[in-house]
Amino acid sequence: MPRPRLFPRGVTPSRSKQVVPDASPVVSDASPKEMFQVVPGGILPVEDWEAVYRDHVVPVYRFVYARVGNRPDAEDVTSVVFERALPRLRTGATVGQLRSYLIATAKTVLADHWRDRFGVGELPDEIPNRPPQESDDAHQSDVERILEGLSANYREVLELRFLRGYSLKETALKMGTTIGNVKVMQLRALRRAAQAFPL
Amino acid sequence: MTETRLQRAIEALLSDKRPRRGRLTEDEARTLRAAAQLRAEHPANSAPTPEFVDDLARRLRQPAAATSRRYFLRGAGLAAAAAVVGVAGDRIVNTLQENDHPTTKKQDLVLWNGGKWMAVTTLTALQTTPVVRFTTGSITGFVIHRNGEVMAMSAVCTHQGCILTAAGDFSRLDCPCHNQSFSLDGNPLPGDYTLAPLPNLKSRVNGDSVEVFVV
Repeated sequence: MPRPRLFPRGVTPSRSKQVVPDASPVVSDASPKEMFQVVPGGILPVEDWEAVYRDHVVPVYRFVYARVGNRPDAEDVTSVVFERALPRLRTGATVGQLRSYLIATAKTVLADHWRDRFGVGELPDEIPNRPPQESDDAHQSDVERILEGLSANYREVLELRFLRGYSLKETALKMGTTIGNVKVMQLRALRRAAQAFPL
Repeated sequence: MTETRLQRAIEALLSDKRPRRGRLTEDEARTLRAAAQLRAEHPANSAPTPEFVDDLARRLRQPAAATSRRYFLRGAGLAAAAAVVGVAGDRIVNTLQENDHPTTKKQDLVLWNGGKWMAVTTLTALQTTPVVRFTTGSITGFVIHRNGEVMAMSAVCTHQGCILTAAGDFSRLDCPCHNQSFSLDGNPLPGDYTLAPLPNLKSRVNGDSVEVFVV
């Protein structure tokens, strides 16, 4: 049987040292320089993807969190977004292009997440369709505006529970009502708020 | 009143936990989305933890992230392929790049370093059985001996993630789930679906052993 060819054309020198059969072929000794990705437009060196990741992980996480509402899911979805998007990035992209691509990827992963978890098809993105702002003032005012539009009771129950982290019991005490009532009220308030979110 | 699924989901968000899986109506889903957005306003939720940021950076350097695998596997076939591509797409024992075949272009995907070399079969075995399937911790793949060369590729169908089997005469790789096959170079044969080729796995020969770079 002919000996299998080990080094076809196209093997880069930095990789080829890994394929030389040796006595202890256990774990590759990856140096950071070797960590690169081959993409259509070229190669994104490792320093760059680290920088891309560090620059964008917080805004992407915030974008995701506002659409899943809990940390474990936000972490999972954010992980998938970067796992999926980083290999496809190319060098020379502007910050704006990178951000848009990451957000577009996040929307796809979020749609999968909602379908998988709750069996709902793609929801219209009620949250204004723009990348998260550095200051996030605009987003803040959206939420505030929605709260402003609710009745005093509804606004209070949502503020206490969601923004200030009161328990059902604490909220009931504070509002002078029963736990059952708080549950009903917060559900109705959320329903009303959902209608108010801009389409 | 009885707790509805929606209410339980809302309470889960308020405890910063995952809501359970379960069908919601579109109206309910919108309500839950409003809850999520409000929850994001809580100062504690405005940024990921440093531990998560560092941990994800570390995982991104590794092949095939395990934590979020289920999304890949439940997603499109293309995404399922991406899950193994962390260690795929290399050219080390790969004849594909040399063939002038338009469809042999593999997906432009990343190879992160990491993983380890594992012996999965031998040259001796490949002389009698030119297509050998193997499974490691996270990868199911084929080692294929053809035209004097050895190469390895994923055995996960890029359609819906079923595990392929070699045809009896070793002429192709068949999907047990749908009417779809792949050639031995990993390209989809004409069928009912338009699929991505099977990602390559890095492989090498060490003495009589054939080793693949896997996790």
